Amino acid sequence: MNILVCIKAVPASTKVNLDEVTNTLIRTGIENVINPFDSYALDLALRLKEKYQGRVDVLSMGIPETEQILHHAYSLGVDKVTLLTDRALAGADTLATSYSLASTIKTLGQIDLVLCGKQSTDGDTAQVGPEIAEMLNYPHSTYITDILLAEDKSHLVVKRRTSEKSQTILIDLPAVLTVVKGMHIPKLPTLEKYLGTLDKKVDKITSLDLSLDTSRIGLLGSPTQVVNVFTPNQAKRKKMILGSLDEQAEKLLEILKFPKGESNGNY
Amino acid sequence: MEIIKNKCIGCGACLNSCSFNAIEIIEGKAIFNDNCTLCGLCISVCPENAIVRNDKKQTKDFSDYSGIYVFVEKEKNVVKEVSYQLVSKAKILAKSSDDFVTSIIINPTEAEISKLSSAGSDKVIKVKANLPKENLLANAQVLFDIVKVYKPNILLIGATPDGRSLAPRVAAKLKTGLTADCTMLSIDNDLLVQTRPAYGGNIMAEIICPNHRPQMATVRPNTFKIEKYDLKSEIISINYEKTFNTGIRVLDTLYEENKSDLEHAEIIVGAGRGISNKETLELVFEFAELLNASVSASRPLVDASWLGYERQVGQTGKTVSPKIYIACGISGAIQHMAGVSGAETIIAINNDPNANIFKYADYSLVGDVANVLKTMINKLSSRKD
Repeated sequence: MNILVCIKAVPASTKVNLDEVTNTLIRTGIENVINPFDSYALDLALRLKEKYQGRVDVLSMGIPETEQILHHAYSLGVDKVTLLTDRALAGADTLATSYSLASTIKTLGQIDLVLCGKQSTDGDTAQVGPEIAEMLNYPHSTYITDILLAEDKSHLVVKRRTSEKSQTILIDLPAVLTVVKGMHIPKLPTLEKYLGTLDKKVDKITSLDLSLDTSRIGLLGSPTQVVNVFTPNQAKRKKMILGSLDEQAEKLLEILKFPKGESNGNY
Repeated sequence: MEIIKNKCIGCGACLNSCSFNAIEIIEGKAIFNDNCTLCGLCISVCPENAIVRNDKKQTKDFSDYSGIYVFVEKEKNVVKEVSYQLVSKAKILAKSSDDFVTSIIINPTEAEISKLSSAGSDKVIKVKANLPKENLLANAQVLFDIVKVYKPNILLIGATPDGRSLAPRVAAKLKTGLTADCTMLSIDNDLLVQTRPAYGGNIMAEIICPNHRPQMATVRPNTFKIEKYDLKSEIISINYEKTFNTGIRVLDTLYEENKSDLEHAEIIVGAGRGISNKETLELVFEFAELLNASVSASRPLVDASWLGYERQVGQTGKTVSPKIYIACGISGAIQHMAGVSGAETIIAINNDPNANIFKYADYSLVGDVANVLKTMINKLSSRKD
């Protein structure tokens, strides 16, 4: 089975806070990590490779500085890591991102299975996986926890688990699946594998290399756009419940009876 | 996106807000490097308004697109509440923009059509189709075909797990924009303004889709409320004859038996990682029972298998909107708070005075969770007797 895993490098902390003194937005930490759900997808892919043979390749669309974190995938046993990167891709919403990734996948030879994490921690829309599937004209399913190759080798039997139900689904190959945390604990890189990766390089390609339609990539290719950002109204009553344990408990009882109480200031 | 040099004072506010290391100050002026993703966060922080971007304006004529459409989701042959909620919200939007609301429902019962009318649906497209069981791709095909014919201005879908799988498939088929998990919707300048948490949730982003139709959005359950209207909907009946060749077959489905009552609970007691042992968890349940409240969990407790996934509240769990949410030993991570944004009153009990949760709480109690719960249980039990 030839498996392609789509991976996104995300800021380690997506927290952007409002500095109340200077009234500016500040980010905490700028390290990149592989999006956690994508790690599950990668782990699942590598387990499938172990079981059924084949290859596992990784594709990511991102800024140049993500190359380093993507290189780590080699130490897990990935065959090739490709980074699609150039400024024309910036500003992409999910449709433009999916177009860019799907178009790239079409150039990578015979792919049987595309795996994505369910969603990213920074965008968290869960849209790219299904949109890639549509553009490749492959069937897709989401919230996948486990994958088995059917005996006829042209179908997969997958387990899907949402907050509402668990399903067993038969899906034709080639397919796209988005993955959530399954039964397995992701395997860690081994020193042996890591040493083997020192010579490997992340293959960097641009939208020009692939002759991507410029009207469908980046900001230009994005139907949606953020027009405004604001901090949510945190003008809450913000009252402290003070006193001895007993006093606090009494006040809490009062609040439970009258949650929109009339007093202001400290309770 | 560019930085207007003569306006830039080199203060570095933009640099501080950038998650991508994309800004550098060189010779007293800010410049972008190759890491810029055009996210636009820096635009709002610049005190001199020196960063500009040409925002998209509507340049196409979409006068042949009309109506706010809601795709109705059914599970086990029952319509999901979120669909009725979206119909009601659509009605409010329609009133503000002189438009109409249409629900699209596959194989409905008369009672369901009636409920859709009552929720505010001016029209109901009643589709008769031989759908393969629980097949999201088949639903996507039907929805796509209907949308192509009816040309909605706006299409809303509930952000249930299935909805979040269906909506992007349809959006990609239509080559249009989709905004997921909107917490607010409004109409401005004839465009749907879609608001959702972004950049980790501490910031809200307003998003538009000016040059593609339909403008699509998904909305989580319990974000909006069902209203009551006295309407008689126009019924449009469609016999969908096309066959399905989706490449997917659902072999079996097991529904969550422990279907928690979180969605309808008036009071919810949330347990977090600060609940350090099983005895304290017992106290949480005792406390909840005395209040006739439901118990929910933040992700760490579910990951540790102390509580089931059906109780998980947060970005990867349920969204709840109780009258009162009592957070016990919950740190207040953004991903968790995203699930309780609808709570009317938040009470937080945590022994860490710097816990993030206190920024969100209406009432803050810094103290030992177990002791507070024990005291509350004693008081509540004695009041009952």
